Amino acid sequence: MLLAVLEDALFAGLAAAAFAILFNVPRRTLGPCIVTGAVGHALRYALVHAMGLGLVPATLVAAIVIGAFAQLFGRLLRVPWTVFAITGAIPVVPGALAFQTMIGALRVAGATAGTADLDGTLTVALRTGLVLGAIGVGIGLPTLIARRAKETDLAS
Amino acid sequence: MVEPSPQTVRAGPSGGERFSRSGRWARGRRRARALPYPPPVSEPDDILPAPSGGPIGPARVLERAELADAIDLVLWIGQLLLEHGAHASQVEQTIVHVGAALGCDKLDVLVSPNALVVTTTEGEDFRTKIRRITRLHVDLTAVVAVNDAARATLTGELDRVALRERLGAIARARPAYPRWLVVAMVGLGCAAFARLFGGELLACAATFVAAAIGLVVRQELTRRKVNAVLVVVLTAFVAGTTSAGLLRLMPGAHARDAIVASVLLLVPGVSLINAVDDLARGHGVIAMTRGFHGLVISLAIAVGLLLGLALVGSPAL
Repeated sequence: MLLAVLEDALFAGLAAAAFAILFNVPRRTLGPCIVTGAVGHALRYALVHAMGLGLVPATLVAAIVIGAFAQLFGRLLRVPWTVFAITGAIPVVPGALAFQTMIGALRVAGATAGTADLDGTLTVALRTGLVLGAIGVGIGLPTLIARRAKETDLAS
Repeated sequence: MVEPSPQTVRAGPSGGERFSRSGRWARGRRRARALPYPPPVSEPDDILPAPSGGPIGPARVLERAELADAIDLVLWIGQLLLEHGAHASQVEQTIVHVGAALGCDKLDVLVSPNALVVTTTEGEDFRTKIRRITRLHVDLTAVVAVNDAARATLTGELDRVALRERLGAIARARPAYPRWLVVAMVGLGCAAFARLFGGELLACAATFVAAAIGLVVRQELTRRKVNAVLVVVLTAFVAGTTSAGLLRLMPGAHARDAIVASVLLLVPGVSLINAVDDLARGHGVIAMTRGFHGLVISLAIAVGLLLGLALVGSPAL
């Protein structure tokens, strides 16, 4: 189990690194970007596979942790927190679910569609939307709490 | 020697009275005056009839020029931030703080999705300027660099001249990573996604190739100023065709969801995350625009990918 979580963290970190470089983050922030992405995705993996949590609540918890890490690194390195939030959130984006929704929508629109197709597609679409919403809410939460402390601080 | 007292400063020709009032930013401002600075060319409405018999006349004109310079600088800061992927409250706060550090009494900012409006007020004088924001090119190094420059202005480390130089350097800066590295890493990152979605080694290899080709296509099309949405459709089409085609050639690799990994490089992450932050902080209009932009880009990805899969006749469809 631990090995599986570590493997997940490795690949999630690689994905986060790719997007960090694609978005041209400063070199000194590359490490923290990778850590944020790896921790967030591995946490969700552990919550889903080891603790049996649903994908949506697990994503919410992971997103809150990503947001908190982004705040922490932002304060430490005096860099806008969104740098870490953006690259950290990319690995938990429900790409596969969105793809299934898309394919399902085409199937529903097809001539031989049945209610089972509609059922499956709606389920996947809802799940995609909820996971995206959980990412948004979770990542935004820590900044709203932390921001109260220093109103005049520049872009943290 | 003794520091010049406020009285001597006030007597200076550059409208020192207004600029030394608050005292908090006095250090930066005093240095700003010490440097020879060519004032910007005054527009027709700058030339006010000088009140008869007083030192206020010429000083007033210069002061308005200074105001014009300050507003130009903060607009440039806002433009750089907004273009390169900062959220609205960051743009607004940075402009307000830097404006104060440059000596503006009062500053009002309107951050809209594709324009910035800033009004500076100095006593009875005011200036309003609009700057159009026409492109979005995510570059977080630029965002961080502008943030650093703003911080240095607040501490008085940078004056108007030095700030202008710094911003120019940021606007001209080369990317932090060489192009081959970006292409290779995006390929690897998307391959990692394919692995996370349950693809085997072969599927990951196909994703690597498809994503790398996709990124090159996107870079080339963007450089040729093709419409941004069309670029996304075409890139998704090329990447989808490549990965689905490669997977068809490899009968062993069964990985339906891995195909989507090759187009994940197009995910509008910056727009969507910024939309969340903007919505939470009351920048509703810009949040809606960003969210909708993210939605349109996502649909464009879907269109391109599905067209690609249909062309190849992928079994995933």
